[in-house]
Amino acid sequence: MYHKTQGPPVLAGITKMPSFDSLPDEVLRVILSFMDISSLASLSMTKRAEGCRLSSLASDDVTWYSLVQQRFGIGRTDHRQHASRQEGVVLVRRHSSSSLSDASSVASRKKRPMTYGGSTWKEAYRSLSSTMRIPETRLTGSSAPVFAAPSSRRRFVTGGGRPVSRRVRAATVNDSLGVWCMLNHAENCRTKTVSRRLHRGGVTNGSSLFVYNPDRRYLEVKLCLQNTKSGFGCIAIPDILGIRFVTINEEECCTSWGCRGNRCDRCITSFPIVEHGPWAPKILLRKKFSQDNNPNVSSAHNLKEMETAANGIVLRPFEIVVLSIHLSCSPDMVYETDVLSTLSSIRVPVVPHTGWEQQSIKRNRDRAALGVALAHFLPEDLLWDYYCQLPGGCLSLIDRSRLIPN
Amino acid sequence: MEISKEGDTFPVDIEVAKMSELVRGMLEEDADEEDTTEIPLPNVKAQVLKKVIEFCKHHKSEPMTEIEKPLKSPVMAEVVQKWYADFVNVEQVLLFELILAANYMDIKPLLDLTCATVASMIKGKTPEEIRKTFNIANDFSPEEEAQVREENKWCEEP
Repeated sequence: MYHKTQGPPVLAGITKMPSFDSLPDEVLRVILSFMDISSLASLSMTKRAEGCRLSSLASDDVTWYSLVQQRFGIGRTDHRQHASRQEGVVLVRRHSSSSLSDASSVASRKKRPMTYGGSTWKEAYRSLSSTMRIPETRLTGSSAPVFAAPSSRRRFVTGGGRPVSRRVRAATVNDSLGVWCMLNHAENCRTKTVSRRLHRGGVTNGSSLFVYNPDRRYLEVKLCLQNTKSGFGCIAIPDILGIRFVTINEEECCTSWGCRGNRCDRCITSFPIVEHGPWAPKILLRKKFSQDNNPNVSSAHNLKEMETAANGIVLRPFEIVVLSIHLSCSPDMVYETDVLSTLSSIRVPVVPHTGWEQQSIKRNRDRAALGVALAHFLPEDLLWDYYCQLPGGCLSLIDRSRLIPN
Repeated sequence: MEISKEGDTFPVDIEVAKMSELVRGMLEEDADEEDTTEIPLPNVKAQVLKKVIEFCKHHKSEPMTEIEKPLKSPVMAEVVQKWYADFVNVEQVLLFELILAANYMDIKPLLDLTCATVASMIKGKTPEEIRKTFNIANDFSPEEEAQVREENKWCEEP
């Protein structure tokens, strides 16, 4: 930490103490842009907003709208541009170093915080984060049904959600990592079977030969993971294959999460993750929401990182990753709903507060004391809000985005 | 060549001086004049300008890595290369002067560095500690302060 050493002023001619009021607003904004949420809160607590520009800027709409954009992806320009391009509208590209007054006018014109549960953007942020809203990306958003979400989501508590097992509670539940589960939904709502080619021929993966089991059925889930804290540092998921999909029956007996390494007999899961071949876990999307218009730097950096981390992922503040994971299901799980109603929770082993460096993952890989991030599946009755049964026993997914909210 | 408020001149390579958007603009205006152009910077003190030039020169040999937002650590040395962390380990008065100079001369990396330094001095501190660091007078009544603290409780992160 950098403490001021009290001593004679270095500069001759400067006698008055520096003050934030001597700095123009645009500079104060730059200072604020480096801050996390708890720092902003501390700052707004130092002095009355009326008497201090810095403390009023720390809780104003420009600052918090930008945080809402970063964490929840709401009202981001790339979404708007994407949407309007589809409609054939040409958007005039804003100057990259657009002034802040410009940003604030966009904020007030395009989106209103009231829609997101608060009269100011700071309150909206609070409301969105208390419900653990899934961040909007091109793969996630309001139209895709979310079947599992972090347990702090109120709907799950009040909506008859199952109680979290006592053992899980006792362990270090890590609420810094948001976990949401969606499906790569099939038109007929059925789980996949293995194609003949995959089964019979097998595919060589290096030296090992793997064969998918033709007796099993498979379901592809899309898992969205986000570091939801702004000032917590990095969160590492040491091994994607350590993620466990726990059924209602397994909930009580499963003592460990990420059973890899110390797999116990009691912990045989009904839904193992497909580890090899074309259905092995894949990263579909990786996004770091940054205020800087510098996509080249960050994407190159991320790519490099992905190469070095075999099955591990490190998430910086607000960073999002969407994974494709195939679950191997028992043969009687014909429909997506069969799987979804059996599952109770997702447990993602995490190493909290690691350093920025990739090496720390490897070091922590074998360490037993991992934290766990939890997501709970919808209870079965709520599940049927998303599916409807057609005559003849067929299932169909209800496109809720087309429904008029009541 | 750049001239400070006090009239001192600082000879600087064109390439280094061009890090400042302000200077670049001035150079482009009178591009016809060759070699030794004098650029008056009446708003910048000599002591500060010296630091600014020191920064620009070093930036040419070892460009500063982009500082991640939000800051990952309250220690500048963990956020940026050591030379830059040492560079901003200065009196608060000089730090604020540097911010103003960087803003006036339009040198983005320097503005980022100095502003991040101020942010690092706030990160992880209690409101009371921030007041002390920056000499801010508390104008809340105890009741108001308790209320504000309650309102901001949800912002606390582990």
